[in-house]
Amino acid sequence: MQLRERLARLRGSIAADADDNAAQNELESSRHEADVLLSAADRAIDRTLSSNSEAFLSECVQEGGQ
Amino acid sequence: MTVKATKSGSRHAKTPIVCGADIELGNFVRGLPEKGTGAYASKLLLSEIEGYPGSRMTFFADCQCQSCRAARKTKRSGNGFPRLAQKAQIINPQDWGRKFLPANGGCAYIDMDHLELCLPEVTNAYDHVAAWHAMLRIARKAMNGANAKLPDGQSLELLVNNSDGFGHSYGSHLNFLVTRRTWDNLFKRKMQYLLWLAAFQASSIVFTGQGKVGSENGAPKVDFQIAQRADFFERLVGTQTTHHRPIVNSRDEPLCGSDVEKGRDAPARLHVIFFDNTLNHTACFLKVGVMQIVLAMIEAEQVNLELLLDDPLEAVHQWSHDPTLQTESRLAAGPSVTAVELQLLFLEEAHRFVADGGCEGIVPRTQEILELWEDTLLKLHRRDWSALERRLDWVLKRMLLERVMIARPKLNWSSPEIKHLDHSYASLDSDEGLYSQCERDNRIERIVAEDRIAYFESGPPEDTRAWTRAMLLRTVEEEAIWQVDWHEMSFAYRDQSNRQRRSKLELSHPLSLTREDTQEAFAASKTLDELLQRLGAAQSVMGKRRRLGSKPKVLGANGRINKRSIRAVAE
Repeated sequence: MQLRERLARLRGSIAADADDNAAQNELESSRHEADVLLSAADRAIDRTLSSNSEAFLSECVQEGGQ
Repeated sequence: MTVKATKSGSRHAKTPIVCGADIELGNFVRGLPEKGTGAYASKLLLSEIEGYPGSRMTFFADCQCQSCRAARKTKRSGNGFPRLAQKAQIINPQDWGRKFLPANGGCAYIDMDHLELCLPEVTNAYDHVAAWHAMLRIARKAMNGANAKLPDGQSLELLVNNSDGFGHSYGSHLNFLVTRRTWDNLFKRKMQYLLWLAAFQASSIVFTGQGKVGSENGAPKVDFQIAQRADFFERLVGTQTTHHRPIVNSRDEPLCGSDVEKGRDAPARLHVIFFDNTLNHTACFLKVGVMQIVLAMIEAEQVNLELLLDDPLEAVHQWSHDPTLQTESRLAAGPSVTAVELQLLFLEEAHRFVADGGCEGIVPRTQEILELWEDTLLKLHRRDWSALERRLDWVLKRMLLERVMIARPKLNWSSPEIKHLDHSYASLDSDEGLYSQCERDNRIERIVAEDRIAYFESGPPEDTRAWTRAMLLRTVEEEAIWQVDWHEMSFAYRDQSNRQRRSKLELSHPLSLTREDTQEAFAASKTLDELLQRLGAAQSVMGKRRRLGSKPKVLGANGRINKRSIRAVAE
């Protein structure tokens, strides 16, 4: 099969698949899920946000590296 | 056009694609008046990791070989090492203080002020994930140990990322065993293969990226991008790793012995500097497993040239800067595709290759890799973020950060707090690391069981040379270990007749000297001399025989082996 045909077939199958799933897979919906589930991560985020981020960023510079 | 394998595919020896890794971490100390504390931080960390120096640089008092004569001319320092050795370590900023780990056969050292973790050689993607997370636990223990010794007000930070956000990048390198024929095809004979590999790697960021806030290295401004490393690639191919980084690295350093067979089936090492550090099991698993399949296709010369990108560098930059996954890049054959579409085309090719038996004996558990690859790509196509955040770091990081900004409208992508959280995602601090917290919250799809990760904290892979390396490090008296490297170990000791001996054990092929090959020798040997003879080490007698019981002047090893370790080996 030629490349253009393969791409058209691929895009066709994906478009149909995407229509079926569009509503449930929006970023917003997963944000709601995250609201319920992110307990330990929430606490870590709160700790980070209560610290001095500008000081952290000024100290994390690391010259050199592959 | 597909370049077909020769009819007699068996003409080429099938080589299992063993994988190793050398991975730098971000490290710095907070609370100091000066900036640029990486050198201090990395030395603190390395001092907390148990291991044997790669080279002892010691010498025999009466040996007439050139290195012993040179070493004798230097005065020995207080810690027993000649000054020559200390000087040699100081002047190599890319390989300082290398230690091999008796725990699992890997090693740790300092590379340009970063702690570098080298994983033991493994044969499959599952063991890569397990060994990687085990090494991170070893690094976390080192961080905790170092922090316990720092004064109040100072703390050591250790980050599993690839960029400091100020234009400095550090690498996450993978190493794959290929044949010399394939290495030559990629870099000397068939440049179209290199372009095919570059097209695969560039589009693979959709599952190998860690995600990053902002851009670096002169790239256009962006809020969030998929890959930590993308902005740092400036060449298609090259040997360099610290500047003008190439998508495909051509460093030719097999680590398979100095007198390695020179034929086209001889082992060679593909040094891959392209990928990000990842933490999610799925991302780590696919990064190695899919590369193994792709390299097996190159080995078999099953390369479809229709999948070459017109400009792989431009593609990786543009794709990384578009986390909506809609940006298209042009193929050399004409059509334009998104990164996910190109990956799906590679997947189709891989399905056919695997169905024809192309991965048999080369890539373990190929079907599981293919299924997870396909499912992940389809979810990417559907933008099924809630499923993908359990698998892919860049999706999880983006979700976490967007959620923070929704809850705190004053914050945006330019806020220092958001960049701070970007770094915190990959922190090895058990309380601060966002990935660690998500793992604790059971929000990560686990590929590898906990007991397998725990195994690699204190056990080597059983099916590569790493097993024998680790067992020798555990078994042999420290003073008798002269030099350790990936492909050989040297010993200096006195035999039962009190003669000085030097022995060199070749570990040339990564698939040699596995547990199956050597466990009987470990179990049956009572002395180091006997063990090394059973393992096939080349031995030589140095200097004159000493009277039994006299104390060696320089080297105190009496060729003993630790029987407790040997019993453990036999169990």
